[in-house]
Amino acid sequence: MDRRMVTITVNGREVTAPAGGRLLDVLRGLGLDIPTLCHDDRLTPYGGCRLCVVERKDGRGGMVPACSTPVQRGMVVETRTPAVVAARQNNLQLLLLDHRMECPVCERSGDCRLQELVYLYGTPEERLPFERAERPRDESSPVIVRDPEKCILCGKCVRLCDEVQGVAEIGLVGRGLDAAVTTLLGRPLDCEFCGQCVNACPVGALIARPFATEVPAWLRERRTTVCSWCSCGCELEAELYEGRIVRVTARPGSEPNDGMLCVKGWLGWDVLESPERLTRPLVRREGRLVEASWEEALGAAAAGLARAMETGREAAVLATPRLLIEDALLLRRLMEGVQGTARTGIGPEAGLEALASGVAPVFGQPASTATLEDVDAADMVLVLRGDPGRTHPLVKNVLVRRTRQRGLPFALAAAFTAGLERHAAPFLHLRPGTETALLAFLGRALDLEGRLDRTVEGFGAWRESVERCTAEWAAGVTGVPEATLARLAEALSAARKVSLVLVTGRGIPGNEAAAARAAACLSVALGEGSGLLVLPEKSNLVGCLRTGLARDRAADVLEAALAGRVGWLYLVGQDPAGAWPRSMPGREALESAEFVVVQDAFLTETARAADVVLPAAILIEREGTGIGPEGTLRTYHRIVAPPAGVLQDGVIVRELARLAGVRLPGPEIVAAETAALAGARGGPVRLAALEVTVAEPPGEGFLLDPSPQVFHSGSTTTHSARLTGLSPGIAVRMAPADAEAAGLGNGDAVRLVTDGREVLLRARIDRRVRPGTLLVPWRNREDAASRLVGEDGVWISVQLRRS
Amino acid sequence: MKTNSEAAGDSRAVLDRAALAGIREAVRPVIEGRLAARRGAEPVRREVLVCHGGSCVSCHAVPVADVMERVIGERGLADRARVVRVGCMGLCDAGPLVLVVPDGVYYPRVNESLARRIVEEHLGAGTVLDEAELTWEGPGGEVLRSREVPFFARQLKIALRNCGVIDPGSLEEYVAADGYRALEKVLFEMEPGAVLDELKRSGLRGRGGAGFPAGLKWQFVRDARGDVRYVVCNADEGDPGAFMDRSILEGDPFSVIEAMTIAGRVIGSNQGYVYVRAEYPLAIERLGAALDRARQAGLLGCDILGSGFDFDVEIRIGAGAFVCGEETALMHSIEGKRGMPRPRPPFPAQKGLWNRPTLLNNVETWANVPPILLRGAEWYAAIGTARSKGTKVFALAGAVRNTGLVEVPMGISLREVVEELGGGIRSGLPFKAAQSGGPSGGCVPASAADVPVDYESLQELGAIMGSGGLIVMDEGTCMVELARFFMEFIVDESCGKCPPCRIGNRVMLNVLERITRGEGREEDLDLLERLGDHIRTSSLCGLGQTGPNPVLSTLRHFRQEYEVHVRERRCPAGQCRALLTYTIVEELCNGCHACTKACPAGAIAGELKHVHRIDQDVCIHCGACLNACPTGAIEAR
Ligand SMILES: Cc1cc2nc3c(=O)[nH]c(=O)nc-3n(C[C@H](O)[C@H](O)[C@H](O)COP(=O)(O)O)c2cc1C
Ligand code: SF4
Ligand code: SF4
Ligand code: SF4
Ligand code: FES
Repeated sequence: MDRRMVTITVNGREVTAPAGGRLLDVLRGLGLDIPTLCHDDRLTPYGGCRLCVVERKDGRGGMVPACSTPVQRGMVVETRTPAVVAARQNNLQLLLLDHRMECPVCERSGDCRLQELVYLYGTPEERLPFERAERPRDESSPVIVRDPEKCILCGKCVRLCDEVQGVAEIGLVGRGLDAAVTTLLGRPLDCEFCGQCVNACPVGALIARPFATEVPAWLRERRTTVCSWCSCGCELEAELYEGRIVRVTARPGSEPNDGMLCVKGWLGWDVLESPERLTRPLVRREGRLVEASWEEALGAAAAGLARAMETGREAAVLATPRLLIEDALLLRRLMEGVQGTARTGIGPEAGLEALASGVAPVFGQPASTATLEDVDAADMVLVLRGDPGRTHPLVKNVLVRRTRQRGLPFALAAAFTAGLERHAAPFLHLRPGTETALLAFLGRALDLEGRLDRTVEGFGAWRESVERCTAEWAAGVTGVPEATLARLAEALSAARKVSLVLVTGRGIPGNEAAAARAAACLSVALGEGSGLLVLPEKSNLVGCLRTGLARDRAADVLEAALAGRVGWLYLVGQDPAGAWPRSMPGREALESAEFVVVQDAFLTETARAADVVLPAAILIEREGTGIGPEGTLRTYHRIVAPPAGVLQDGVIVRELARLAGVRLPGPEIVAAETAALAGARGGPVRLAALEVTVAEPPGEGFLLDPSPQVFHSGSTTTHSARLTGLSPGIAVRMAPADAEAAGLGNGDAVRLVTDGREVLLRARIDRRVRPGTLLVPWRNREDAASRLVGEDGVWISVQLRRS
Repeated sequence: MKTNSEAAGDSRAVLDRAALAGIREAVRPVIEGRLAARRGAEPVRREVLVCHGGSCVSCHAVPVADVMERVIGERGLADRARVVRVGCMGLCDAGPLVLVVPDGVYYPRVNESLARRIVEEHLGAGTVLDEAELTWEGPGGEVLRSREVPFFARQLKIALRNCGVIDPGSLEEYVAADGYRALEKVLFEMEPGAVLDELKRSGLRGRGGAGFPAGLKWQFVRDARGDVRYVVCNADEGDPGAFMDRSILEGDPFSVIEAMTIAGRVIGSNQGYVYVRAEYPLAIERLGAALDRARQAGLLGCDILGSGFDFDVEIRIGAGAFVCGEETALMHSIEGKRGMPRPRPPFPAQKGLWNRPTLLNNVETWANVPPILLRGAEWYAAIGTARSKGTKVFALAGAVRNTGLVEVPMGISLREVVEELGGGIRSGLPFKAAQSGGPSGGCVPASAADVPVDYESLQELGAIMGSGGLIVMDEGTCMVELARFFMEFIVDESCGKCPPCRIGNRVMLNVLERITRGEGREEDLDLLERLGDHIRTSSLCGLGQTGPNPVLSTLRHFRQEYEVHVRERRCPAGQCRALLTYTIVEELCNGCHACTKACPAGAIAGELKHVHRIDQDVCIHCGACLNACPTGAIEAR
């Protein structure tokens, strides 16, 4: 917002400041030290702790809180008068009275805002009569311990959970000294465990059990890096002691996450210390995998490669998109050096098709045209295919903030959601996989409104292809009432800047490429200022695409392998046998490949079948560069060393290259090439006709929702005890009404039957599941959900039988 | 409750301006007759106005009215007399209160048998029951009767103009009492700017406590940017002694509705809310009935009186926390959130309900609006003092003889209120001080009782006008105990958001408690002042900012009383039990053992039928013996 600059007087000095801006920001901008406890830049002003009071001398107000006082022309402010200092000291003294002081043994000692401020400002010496009430700690949650005797009621946790996380799991109850932060009816925390509350707590009132530590704050080393779970790429700050992570937080103001994390980025790092980690290479001897030295293992891998070359067979690599750019560039070069025609690809990863075959033909490049900031600032946002709260928590936070704090709406169109629908306006509860039909309808409706830019190349053909997609038709296909469709069209039509957000993730029904294409077309037709943000599931998919590593499709590599043409198959962080959808015969392909090298952190299903297994560093053990969904470079720092004997992908690749006699470029060249990959690139933009196929609705029955859960998405997370501990157990979760209708109670055994496949599960009643839907979280290929899911992207209807 | 209109079998059609004029013409004589009622008037038909204010209802006014109606029926008096159930007449102390019109005779404390006699003798035979009539001894020893009684004679009723005069359930009576004329004027004769101008020139200030100029506030909301605006009536009335807002809603709900409608027109709002505390069921019921009636008559809803202006009002019920009367907390509560204040700015006029510009006024403020617009700013501004115009309603309580609701011109002295309207101190002890503004206010010592009462003068004395609670105290009241009492209230009512109020006030209370327990320390008085000052200046909302006022003002005017508590461990007013010495007057003791049994400390010994004695070393000063002794032999000093 543009603001008029006005003159105000601070400590006798005239300064200019934006009228209506936050006085606190102006004062801090002048380098003045203004203590705050309840203020958080990410939240609406609260004015609770009264620590930030300054004296106003222009006859308006006396002591005013800097955090919640807007700048006004002619203001005269003093920040250091004896009265101001006394007010701070008095407030601190009062806060200490009602605070259980056990600083020497408190987790937060040395990192406690209250302690720091008392140290800085001191308190009056006089003793005040006061008796602190005893209140038990809430130990009922496996993750977060709440200590009301330390809580200073700054309200940050409550406000973050509500305004930013959109969960409102906790709230303030009671008056006066009885006021306390609590859950509804005091039941145990049952939330997203994003840690926003814990990380914002200025004192030791909220403690994360996994980070309970005896290591004092001042002995911890703090290092930041980029979280490498999902593609959001949040910056996190780890506190380390003797090389081990003792606590993870994020700093408000961090890019792109402004201090927010999700459960994985906050707690999921125990995977790194999983006892199941591979720490030594394995080679197959007499049919069994046995531990070997790096030299032996690399030698065996190189020998396998040489043999494949000698026998005239193909070399192929499939890598995880989590691969950092430098490592991916080296890998590509290795393969090119080994064999000009070597197949290189990344797995069947969610988001790959959306970018490569969905948006690339429209945008001229496999990239998004909207950034997260665009989404934050757009007049209207339409989120398609899924609830980012499950797959891309940071995007969820951005959406919640814009509506909760600034009243900017967003629409959500998805079949399966996890709570974000409560904040969406409108929410379109789609039949699974009908996003393309919705987008086609919107295209037609917005054009009839005259809202679209008809000068874009290909407009005519595209427009023609959506002509039959009337509201009535769309309502029939998507199952969304016509009135709701009209509301959405109206909202988009009225918005100058529209951001479309396309969620991808395993288990989300529908053809992601088709939906991406339709969304890309609409975003272009909406004209200047509008765009599309495609959210790949895993980090650095965009980066891997730009390295050119994804030249071949995973399906083609499989086919070549099944045909017996692949002599050397190199799987870097890919687990075809364990984690791929059933429709892709990963295990068979492995068996058909002559020699299989697996590079991974765990002994996956695939690794078990390999000839050589190379233990690799993962996630934040790596150093390098990635690219976020919107095209910005992110620098990953190795903040913890991998287990002894474990190497980073690029290092392994270089070793292999050396043995294979392939020359790889030096680090400077790789760095330069990496830097050149950043930024958005323009291609020729053109619309194309949409193919709006209407899937046959399945027969009667419940919809199966096997899409990823925020706690856990099915592969690496499986090895985090903290995450699996939180994720819903293997059960079928259903709405209370459905359970009642079926006569089921918690824990009853039920049979889920579809298309001849059948699984037996326990029932769990979960108020968050939408009626008509059965949620069976996808954990891994051996799990229930995957046994029901035949093919990725298909809409499944299941029958429920009591057992 | 049966209403006149029902009795009269009024039609329930939508009213237009002509219909309003017709009602005024037909019913006005009745209302005028009530206002002019005076001894000697020639009755054609009598009316008995039975006070149905909350206080009279709770002392059985409803059966009294029922009895009267029944007896009127039995005696065939229906064409000569009827019962009208009206709102609060003010003299709550004397309830159930009944006024016979046109004779202008008040009967206090009417019970069912007196009710029967009033009907039979006064209504039936035309004989005034002299011995039951409300009388008062005048300054010269003369007997003043009914309306001559200073409690009524000294009042000037603007906000309460219809309370006790009309049937609050009857739209017709309200209309006849000039109701909706102001709205008509605003809708058809005045530009919104002219209304604002009138209001500003009248000098009307908010009656909810802060005294902010009403016209200016209306202007701010009208000028605020935004397409949707709201109008809110604050009827939370949290000050424990105050009940003027309740009385207005119970006795004249249409006046608030009309005023809010006027505001809607002027500031450009189509929706109003009245926030009432749940403890006011009668007010909620009557306001709800009035809203229904206004809607039915087309005075709320779409196209009011054919003007094209739409407006409606909803009731929101609050859970009765004091802090919910604070405007930002109130709005949070209406929004369904926790009733907790937030910093201002932004003021409600800029960002109020659901972040839209919102005009929020107190019930009494609203009730003043229609008369001002009807009779003009000059008329209103001529009443009161230089900067405080008009009248103020006070809830008179405490040590005076007449407690109840009074409306007096600003600038009247406290002494007049206490001595003339209040009828002086009941106990006969000297008048010591009056607490104005309830728990947020302060005390005015008797020495300052001649200062004209207005916003500024009270502020200078360290008290505030507040919502109008006025508790009168005699020399038997301990000012430390008074401060402790109000501080206890504040501690219970703090919302807990900010530390000065949440923790600081509790510390203040702890200090006061130790002083009244006789454990005060020399430094305590300075501590109270330092902390009180801190809480006042750095709390978030008015609750905390005014919470220490009772302490600070008693410290200012009665510091010596505190010092006696601390230094001499003595309570001069004899109220702090822990500071009293209990002894047994030998002549009065009959040795019954009652005190021995009552004493929890076992400090009293004595043989049956012999004089007992209290062991001062063991006595814990609880005063249990005082209450137990049947002969009054225990002396506390
Ligand atoms: C703790 C507290 C309680 C309040 N309670 C009331 C109340 O019960 N009724 C009321 O009208 N105003 C109350 N107020 C004042 C309101 O905040 C507000 O100033 C007032 O309603 C505005 O209306 P007015 O301008 O007509 O007075 C209270 C203020 C505070 C700080
Ligand atoms: S962990 Fe996240 S969701 Fe849970 S209470 Fe804290 S802020 Fe709310
Ligand atoms: S728990 Fe922490 S963040 Fe929450 S209100 Fe208490 S002190 Fe503030
Ligand atoms: S002053 Fe008291 S009532 Fe007001 S916000 Fe602070 S704690 Fe709440
Ligand atoms: S930081 Fe301003 S009141 Fe807490």
